[in-house]
Amino acid sequence: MTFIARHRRLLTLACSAILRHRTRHVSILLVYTALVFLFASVVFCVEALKREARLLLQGAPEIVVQRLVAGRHEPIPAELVEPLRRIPGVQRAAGRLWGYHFDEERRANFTLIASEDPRLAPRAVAVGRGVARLLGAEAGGRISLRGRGGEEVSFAVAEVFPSASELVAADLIEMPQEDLRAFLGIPEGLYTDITLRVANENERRVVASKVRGLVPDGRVILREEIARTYEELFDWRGGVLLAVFASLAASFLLLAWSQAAGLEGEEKREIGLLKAVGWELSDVLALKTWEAITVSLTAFLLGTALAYLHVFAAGAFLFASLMKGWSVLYPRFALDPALDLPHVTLIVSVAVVPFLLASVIPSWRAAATEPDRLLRQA
Amino acid sequence: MIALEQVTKVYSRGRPEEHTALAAVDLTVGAGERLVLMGPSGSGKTTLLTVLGTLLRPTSGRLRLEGRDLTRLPEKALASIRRRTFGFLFQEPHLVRGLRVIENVLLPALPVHEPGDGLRERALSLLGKFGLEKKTLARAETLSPGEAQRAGLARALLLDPQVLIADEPTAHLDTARARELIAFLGSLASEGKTLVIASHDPLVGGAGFVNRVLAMRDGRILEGSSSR
Repeated sequence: MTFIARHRRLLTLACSAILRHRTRHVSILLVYTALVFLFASVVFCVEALKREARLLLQGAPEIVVQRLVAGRHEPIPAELVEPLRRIPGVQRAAGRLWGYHFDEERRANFTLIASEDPRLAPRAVAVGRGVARLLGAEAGGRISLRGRGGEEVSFAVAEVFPSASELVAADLIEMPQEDLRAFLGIPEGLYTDITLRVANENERRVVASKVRGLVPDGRVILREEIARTYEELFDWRGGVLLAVFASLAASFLLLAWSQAAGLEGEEKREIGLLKAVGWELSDVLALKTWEAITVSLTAFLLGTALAYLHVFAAGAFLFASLMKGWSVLYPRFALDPALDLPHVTLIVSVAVVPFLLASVIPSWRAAATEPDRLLRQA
Repeated sequence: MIALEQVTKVYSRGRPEEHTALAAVDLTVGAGERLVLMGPSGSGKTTLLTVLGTLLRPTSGRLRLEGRDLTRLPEKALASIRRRTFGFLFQEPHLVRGLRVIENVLLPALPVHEPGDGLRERALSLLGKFGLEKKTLARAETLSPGEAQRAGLARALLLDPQVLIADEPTAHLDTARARELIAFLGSLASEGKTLVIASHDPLVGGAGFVNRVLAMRDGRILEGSSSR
């Protein structure tokens, strides 16, 4: 008999066994699907966030220099830009102006940044979708922000950023540098920080150490450090969720084990009968493995498909607030759909393999018992 | 053909409920012999059948098949011997619920069945021989006890075993059905099959095809058992 023909028959018998013991299998399938769904949702969510962060950082400067006074971030003098630009390996150095604005009325925090787009006219802004929603603004309309003296400052809305950038730009307001200086009260000759472009990856740490020599009260932030921080942050948040789910998963595996270990009398009788009529241990094990594979693959496919829809179509509504962080604007949580082989492999190895072992080992123990004992026990 | 030498089987050894089911039994069953073991419940008949059919290993002693010692053979080898040599008709038919009758009958061959090897035709022929031709597609649980027992017999004979082992085959049958089954067993005897049957049904012990009756009690074969 060919290998495929043999296993096709065993699979058919396994499906029939699942239907025969449907009460037990359906209850396991439901719990199992729910666990795979939660686990896969976290994996999809964390990986999509990390990918978004990586994409965001692709356009970010390799090094950011900030000035610290008494441990607090203070504006940095513009005269440092030129000495920093002259450090070998630095292609470009530029001052950057940005800050935060707290809208007390709406209890929302906006990030204000000087635009590098020369097309942005004085007293015009480009805003993120979160800002637009909160202030009821649209392109061509106007928004008002309360200035430092308590006066209303009005801006024309030139653009609302596309939804694709919402996760990182929801709370963003871009305006011309002069307007921003006036609004934040930062005088000429000072920037919030200085950015450096260093194309050669191998030179970045050397450049960073030279910057520290030039700006002794400075804090030097490398892009890869930010990337690592993002990764750790999302991993940590995902880890918190997974730690919660781990206890559920452990309970489920214990349940699966105890269910399989305490095989129903009829299942033991079936194993005893199969052995009595000449089935080898390997035949019985193959049958039981097919049963477990059928249940676990069904749960895996259902759980993963539901998780995909949950994360990429429904905005991961179950735990989006934990994953996306502190922003008071709560951007719409629209992540780009993606299904990477390594992550699917991770879900399979975490979700399917332990269940296979928890199901097959007790069956193997039963199948290794003498047929007469199994028939008598049943 | 089959020989038990000083076979002892002790259940729950070393525990308070320890029970000796077979006590140093010697028995030889020749090819083509039709042997019936008789005795009260608990006399060791079923244990003797299961040891003889390699479903249970003895605690001590030896089991030989055509001179080959099977006592310490690995499980894989025993499975192959069971499939090729023995057919079992259990007291309970042990049909798998939810499977059709034909699927139950083909069960012993499922891992080894080759397309075109004629086993399906043989299964249908056996079911026809035992009056179950209209039940081939019925679910096992819908059969009457007598039909289930005959389906079990068809399954036992599917791979044309040399030896048929039957444990109380008429236990759940009325007299008419019991006579029918005995007639089927008789037809097998006439084909030269070796039959080893445990029963306390006098209909079985007195059947014309039987050529040896052994009495058992307390795990031993009693002296003075009859041969015909």
